[in-house]
Order: sequence, then structure tokens, then C-alpha cells
Amino acid sequence: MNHPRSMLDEVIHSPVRFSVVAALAAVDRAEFRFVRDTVEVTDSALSKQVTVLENAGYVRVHKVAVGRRTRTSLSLTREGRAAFERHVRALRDIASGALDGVPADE
Amino acid sequence: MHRDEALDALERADTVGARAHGRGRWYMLFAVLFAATTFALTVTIGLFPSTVTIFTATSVCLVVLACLVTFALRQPVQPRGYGWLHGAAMLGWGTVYGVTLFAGYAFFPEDPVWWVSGAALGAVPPLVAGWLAVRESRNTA
Repeated sequence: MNHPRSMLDEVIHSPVRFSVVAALAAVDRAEFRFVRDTVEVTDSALSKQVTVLENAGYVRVHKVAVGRRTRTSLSLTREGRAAFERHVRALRDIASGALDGVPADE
Repeated sequence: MHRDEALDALERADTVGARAHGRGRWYMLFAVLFAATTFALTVTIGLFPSTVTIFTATSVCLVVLACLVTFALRQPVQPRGYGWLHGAAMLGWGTVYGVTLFAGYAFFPEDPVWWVSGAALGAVPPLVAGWLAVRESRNTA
């Protein structure tokens, strides 16, 4: 039997990326600045993390021109939502201590 | 990862998710205002079908709807299921509104029972969509 630690998603595991994905999992789509304020990070820090999530195929970036400005919004892909659900399940298993004593790689 | 870290991560996910859910609740307000506006429009043009009334009521309704669309476009968050919920709400309302209008003018001119019932029935799809959006938000919190 695998320890739930092995079910944790390496991409989502980072605290900022986990918060970004958790915010996006609750909605269909959210504006970049809303996610930035919700997760409490800077524009550049969020950009970097979103790039990682986008490269993993977990997040989709939408850009719409509004006048002279570009409005950027983010949404989870189907893969991203599934990965988040698996990750949360693994966290719940770890939190419940259901599989304590089962060996796993750190 | 240890149990405490897992609990912290889950708590963080709940907090962040709840904040995002909360910002999606604007759709309930949109749905209530849309339902009220279209209810008033249907009753007005059905019970007082003069050219002036129809023109005035439709113009006022279009202004209110334009404000609602602007309000919706300015929201930073789209609630879960927004696409299909809104699409189904507009399709449902459009169908009921069309039937109420065509059958009403043809068979029930100025009949309060027909027009008020049709207007109330037309308000149901957007209200149900708004309620489902709020409920979906609660479920995923």
C-alpha cells in the first residue's frame, strides 16, 4: 500500500501554487489581480508560479484587450482540477493519520 | 510531510477557496435584478399594450439590462458552472418570455392571470440559476 505522501502532486505542493490552485478550484475563472490579492503575493511572484502551473497543463491563462489595457484571467484545466482533488485527498489522508506506519519516500 | 503541515495546507485551501467563493455570489444579485426587471417588463407590456407603454417599458428594461451586463463584466470572478448556468437561465427565460408574449397577444390580451403567471414563470430560470451558483459555492467550500 502506498503512503499518501506519494500521492502528493509535486507541482501543486509548493505553498503559493497550492493556494493559487485552491482559489481557482472554487470558481470557473478569476482575474489575475484577484488571485494575486487573495493569495497575497506580488505580480511577479504570481506570474512565475502561474507559468509553472501553465507548463504543467494545470492552469489556462486568458487575455482580453479592454481598451489599451489587457485583462488577464486564470482558470483551472480539467487536469488541474483532477490533480488538485487528488492532492487534497492525499492531504486529508495524511491529516487523518489513516496510513501512519506505511513506509514512503520523503 | 507531517500531519500538522497537511492540516495547515488544508486550512489554507479552505480559507483561499472561501474567499474566491464569496466573490462569486454577485451572480445571485444579478439573477434577482434580472428576474425583477423582466417580470416588470412582461406585466407592463402585457396589461398595458399601448405603443407608448411598450416603447417606454422596453427602453427602461434595455437600460437596466445594459447596467447589469456592465456589472457582470466588471466582476473579477465567475462562479463555478457559470457558463452553463447562465446559458440555461437565458434560454429558459427567453423561451418562457417568447411563449408568454406571442400566445398572450394572440389569445389572452390584457388577461392579468396569463401575463402575471407568464412573468412569474419567466423569473424562475434566472432565480434558480442564481440559487444554484450560490449553492455550488457552498458545496465546494
